[in-house]
Amino acid sequence: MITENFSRRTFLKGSAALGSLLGLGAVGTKAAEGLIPLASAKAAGKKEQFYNACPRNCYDTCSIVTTVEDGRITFITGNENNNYTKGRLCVKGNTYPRVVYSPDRIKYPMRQKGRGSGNWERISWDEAYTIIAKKILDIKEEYGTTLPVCLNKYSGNFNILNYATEGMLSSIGYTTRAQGTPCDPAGSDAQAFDMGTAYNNDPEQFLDADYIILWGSNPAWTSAHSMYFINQAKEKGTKLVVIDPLITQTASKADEYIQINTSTDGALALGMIRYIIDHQLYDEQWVRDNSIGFNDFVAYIKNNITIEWAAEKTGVPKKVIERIAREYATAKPANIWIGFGMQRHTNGGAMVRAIDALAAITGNIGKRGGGVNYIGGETWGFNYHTMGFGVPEGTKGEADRYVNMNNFGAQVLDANDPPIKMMWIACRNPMAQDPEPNVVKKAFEKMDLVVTADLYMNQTVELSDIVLPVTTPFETVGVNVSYWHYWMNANEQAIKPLYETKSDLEIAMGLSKKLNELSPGSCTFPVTGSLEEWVEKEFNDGIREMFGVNSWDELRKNGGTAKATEKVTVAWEDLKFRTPSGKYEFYSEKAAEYGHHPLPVFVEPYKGDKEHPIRCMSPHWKLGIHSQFQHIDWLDAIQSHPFVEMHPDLAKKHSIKENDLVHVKNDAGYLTLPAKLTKTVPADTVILYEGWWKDVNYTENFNVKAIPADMGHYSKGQRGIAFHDNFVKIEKA
Amino acid sequence: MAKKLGFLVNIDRCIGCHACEISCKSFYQLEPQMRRRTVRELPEDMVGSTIRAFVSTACNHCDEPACKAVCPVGAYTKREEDGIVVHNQDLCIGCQMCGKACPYGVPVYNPVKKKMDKCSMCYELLDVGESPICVSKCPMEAIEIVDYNEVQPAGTVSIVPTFADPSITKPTTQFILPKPGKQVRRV
Amino acid sequence: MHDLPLVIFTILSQLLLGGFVALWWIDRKKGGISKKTGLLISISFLVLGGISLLVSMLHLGQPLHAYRAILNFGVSWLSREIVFYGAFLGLIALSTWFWYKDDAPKRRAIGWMASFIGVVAIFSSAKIYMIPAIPAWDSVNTLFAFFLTSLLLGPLYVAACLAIKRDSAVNISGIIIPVLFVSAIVAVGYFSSLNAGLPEAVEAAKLTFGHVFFWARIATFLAASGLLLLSYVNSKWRSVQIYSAAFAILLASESLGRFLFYETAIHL
Ligand SMILES: Nc1nc2c(c(=O)[nH]1)N[C@H]1C(S)=C(S)[C@@H](COP(=O)(O)OP(=O)(O)OC[C@H]3O[C@@H](n4cnc5c(=O)[nH]c(N)nc54)[C@H](O)[C@@H]3O)O[C@H]1N2
Ligand SMILES: Nc1nc2c(c(=O)[nH]1)N[C@H]1C(S)=C(S)[C@@H](COP(=O)(O)OP(=O)(O)OC[C@H]3O[C@@H](n4cnc5c(=O)[nH]c(N)nc54)[C@H](O)[C@@H]3O)O[C@H]1N2
Ligand code: SF4
Ligand code: SF4
Ligand code: SF4
Ligand code: SF4
Ligand code: SF4
Ligand SMILES: [Mo]
Repeated sequence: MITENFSRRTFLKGSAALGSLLGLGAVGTKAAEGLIPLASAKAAGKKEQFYNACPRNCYDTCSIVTTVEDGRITFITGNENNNYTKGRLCVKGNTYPRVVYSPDRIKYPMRQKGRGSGNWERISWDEAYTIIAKKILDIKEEYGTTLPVCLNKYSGNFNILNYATEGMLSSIGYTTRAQGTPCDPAGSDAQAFDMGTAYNNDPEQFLDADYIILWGSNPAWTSAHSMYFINQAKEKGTKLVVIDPLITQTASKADEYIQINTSTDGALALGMIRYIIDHQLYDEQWVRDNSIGFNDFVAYIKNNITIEWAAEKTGVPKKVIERIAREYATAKPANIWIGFGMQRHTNGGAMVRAIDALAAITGNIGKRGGGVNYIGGETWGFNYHTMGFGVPEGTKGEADRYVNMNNFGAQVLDANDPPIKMMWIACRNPMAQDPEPNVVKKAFEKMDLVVTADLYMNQTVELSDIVLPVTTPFETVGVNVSYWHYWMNANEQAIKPLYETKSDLEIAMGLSKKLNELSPGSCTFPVTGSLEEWVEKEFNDGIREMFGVNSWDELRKNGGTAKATEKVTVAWEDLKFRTPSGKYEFYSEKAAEYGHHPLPVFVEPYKGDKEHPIRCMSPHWKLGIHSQFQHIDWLDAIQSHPFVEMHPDLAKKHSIKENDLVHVKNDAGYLTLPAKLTKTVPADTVILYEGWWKDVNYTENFNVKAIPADMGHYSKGQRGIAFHDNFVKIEKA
Repeated sequence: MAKKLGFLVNIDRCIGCHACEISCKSFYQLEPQMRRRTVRELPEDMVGSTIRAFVSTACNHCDEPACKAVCPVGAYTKREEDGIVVHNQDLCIGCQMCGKACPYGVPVYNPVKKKMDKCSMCYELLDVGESPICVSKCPMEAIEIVDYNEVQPAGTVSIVPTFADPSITKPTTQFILPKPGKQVRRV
Repeated sequence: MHDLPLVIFTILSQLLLGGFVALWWIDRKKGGISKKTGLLISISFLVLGGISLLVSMLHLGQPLHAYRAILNFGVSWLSREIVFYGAFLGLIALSTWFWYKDDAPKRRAIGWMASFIGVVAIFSSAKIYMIPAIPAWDSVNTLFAFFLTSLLLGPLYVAACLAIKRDSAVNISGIIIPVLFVSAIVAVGYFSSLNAGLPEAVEAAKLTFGHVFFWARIATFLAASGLLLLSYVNSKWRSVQIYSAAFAILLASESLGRFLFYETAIHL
């Protein structure tokens, strides 16, 4: 295989140089050898199976079957009882045995002498709790409040029991919280303005669709199980249209791919709407019965939007816009899936509102197989018992204080009165996943104590004072639901926790115990209870009725997974929208209240400056979920280093050849990466993928600026981030 | 009549996700650098319009297996009943000649066991009526086992870029090429 | 680097064939080799043969089970190589015994057989590599190259040994110079055929030309040729030093060549 050999050779040549530029250690063999041979393990003994749930921030939230032989996991795969998982996992899920037995796991609580020094020493859990508890009590003593303690937790693990971390901090008093999400806010707000909340159809209904538009979403990488249903629909004749600036893996499977100018999707949707209105293809009855503000919207369209204009803005020929509009409007039902990636722009929310409007005027909302699908939360009605213990008696103040998760570093630095002195980080890798990590680093430097609970020595842990080793899903108990499909999955403990690891809930109990030892009554979080008892407390009548399951124990005994009733799987089937008017709101006063135009109007995209003419997008990577998985040796063996994708024409302009090292830079920072030339990327854009690569000093965010998206404030407290409105210059290194 | 089992790899369905490769690796607990199945990127202009395409291959259970011909200990047998080429690890002395001789570089060295390793088409599973792991775990159902003596699926090809000349060992694997859709590209 | 044992094994086994045949030939045709010298050279063959076997086992994942490698004699050239090479070494041992016994007729008779088996062993050895999966190997060049190594190194080795013992001053250059010439022609032919072959063959040629060892091989080859040419034209140059130096340089040259053979082999 020439190409393979050749690129391996050339990369080897380059890797020394790459190593020094990225500041990485030897990329050599880090494979730990000597996995337990299956055959001998099999011969030896007792074989058991357990149900687990993949808790990652992933549409698919899979139900898992774990095989354990003699106390050791020998195989992890999908649960066939779950019709969405279908007994299969994505590539990442298949690496779980190596996640559990990775030689890189953090094994004990450790303290670092000198933040970032790498000079770690093992301490006991008791020592760790003592250091942390003392610091909390000192802070309370000095400031009269626990507001200087700040929590940053997000999406590393969505097990419902993991809300114990929030609960633990609420149990010591009022604290500062990182609020918002980097993920979906702009689109979620848009749907909240239009319909009251974001609510999506069951993705298994792709099979019922007559026409599917994947609008800036890349399920082939980010939701493989959905891609299956989409492909099945396609094979039985449903037309699949993909709209994306990149020829993604998903776009490669489309019946029709439309390469749109980035961040102009609003214009495309509005242009289609103009055509649909002009040709009377809209669902007059639906609009009349179920919406408000339609006439204002039509007036806006007629006065401001033409198809020629839309063609000009989007780069999509007029004829194509017209044809797609006609096809979409006449297909019944037609399904749109708006990706999270699409709304990471300064006009992201506005674009989603325009696309919502397209679905509304064609009467596709509330229909099985149709919908304008983005995200949903109908199945999340647990008790969140871990968060319900209240502040200790005598706590001063009224409420938690918020800093914006999406501008975390800067806002932590700005917080005064009282300043932030201690950070608790869990399920979160801000040094990798936040824009402008250099600013986040400055915020860390100001802290008296940074505590991170994690599994691996990632960039955030490296800058912490104390690291608390946490369990994998296979070593603990829990229950998970999805923001996309309609299943609930049990998570059983398949093996004993390795080393000295503990779950976040156990950590909460442990810290509470220590706080109360040192200062009785200083923490309301319970200090006892088995994990099974805790998880049973999450069930309530709503959950029981929705899933037809009485308890967690029943769930795990009956196949480990259950699907929600049909009553909720078609979004807005009852057409009772959760807006102030109860109708679909083309005209939203709420939107106006939050400073937006009340109508779904066109908002101009963000533009780079002359110095930085190239758009740099950082979408999600197939061999990782954010900073998780890519560093696992099985995946490292597939792709061992990050890269930057660019069009050969752009590369040629800069005399860059395949695998040449390239500087990608702007005011926020720079990266040096080998180039991967591909015509799947437009010539004015470069692509970096998200990821934490072991032993490589890389995060795609080194040169991503904290530019806010337009929306998010209403439903998430804070606006989202315009990750993809990032502009850079490139040069050959 | 004896069966002639072979893989049918549907590149049109394949999303290049590597789940087949890793599920196999997990089931057989292979060392990190070993693969029984490999997913490879294909040239992006292979079918005309630019697309991201991948092909997943394992042992081709050839009609004239080169691995079998070179092995000095006779570790390879081709099963009479279905043509599966089985590697007997107990016999293997780890000379690695089979890896060199296979045009597809299929047999790989297990650095811990110090013996060669190769896709078995999961015959232990097939023998009890189950599908091979890579077949049942592919999220896109892009891999099938076909008895090519029984069916000759239409529209398949026996060679794709990066796949060695089939005349050497007469591999049984067949492929379905991607059918690219329409592309409206920015000017 | 993991093919290094094979580099050593193939070079040694080929040297042994050439050496054995040369010793036998001189012994048979010219006589005049003392028992002591003949025995010493013969024993050195056995030592080298032993080393070659040990080294080749190092290449195996399971050296202790190396004996199984003869099981597939009916099909596998590797099995055949091992069987014939083993037999060859056995016959060398026997011939050594007859050096010890000073039984010239018997050792000459064995010589016939051993030479024949040795040739079959090296033939089998070459056949192992003539596989379509590696286009750069899959040609008669492999066969030529292996036997040419025999012809170059073996006689020179024996000549050097004889010169050390001052037993008889054979003018070995007369034989080796034509072989060097043929070697050069074969090499030129080989690389032009690679460049006209499959992409993997072209790539192998490219890698070879880009490798510093290739140029070192050419330099050593020319140096050895120069020395031998000198010794051919002037009997003063037929000394221990010259033969040993020429042998050492040529051994290095052949080893570098063999190293490249493995290193630049591009798989289909
Ligand atoms: N393998 C894997 N799966 C994941 C994740 C992961 O990291 N890895 N992350 C999970 C999480 S948290 C999330 S939020 C989701 C994200 O899931 P997706 O939204 O599917 O993925 P993204 O990569 O964020 O973005 C999708 C696409 O948006 C496109 N895009 C960007 N700007 C525009 C635009 O202006 N217009 C249009 N039409 N398209 C645009 C990008 O080119 C990209 O192809 O995936 C989840 N699943
Ligand atoms: N440039 C750029 N940046 C992005 C994005 C982008 O598209 N481009 N996408 C953004 C999006 S959509 C998202 S959702 C965020 C995600 O950002 P994060 O939520 O930070 O994502 P992860 O890297 O998945 O998880 C964080 C950490 O949680 C740890 N973890 C896993 N399980 C547990 C557990 O049980 N307990 C504890 N305590 N820790 C655990 C993991 O080891 C990991 O270090 O990233 C955002 N960042
Ligand atoms: S990462 Fe997503 S698709 Fe993969 S196993 Fe987990 S939930 Fe399933
Ligand atoms: S699992 Fe299926 S879709 Fe994924 S790479 Fe393998 S064959 Fe392709
Ligand atoms: S693909 Fe290779 S290993 Fe498999 S049967 Fe054919 S020659 Fe043997
Ligand atoms: S490595 Fe094992 S199976 Fe392969 S040729 Fe050698 S002995 Fe036979
Ligand atoms: S058939 Fe079995 S052994 Fe072969 S690649 Fe598939 S899973 Fe692996
Ligand atoms: Mo996200």
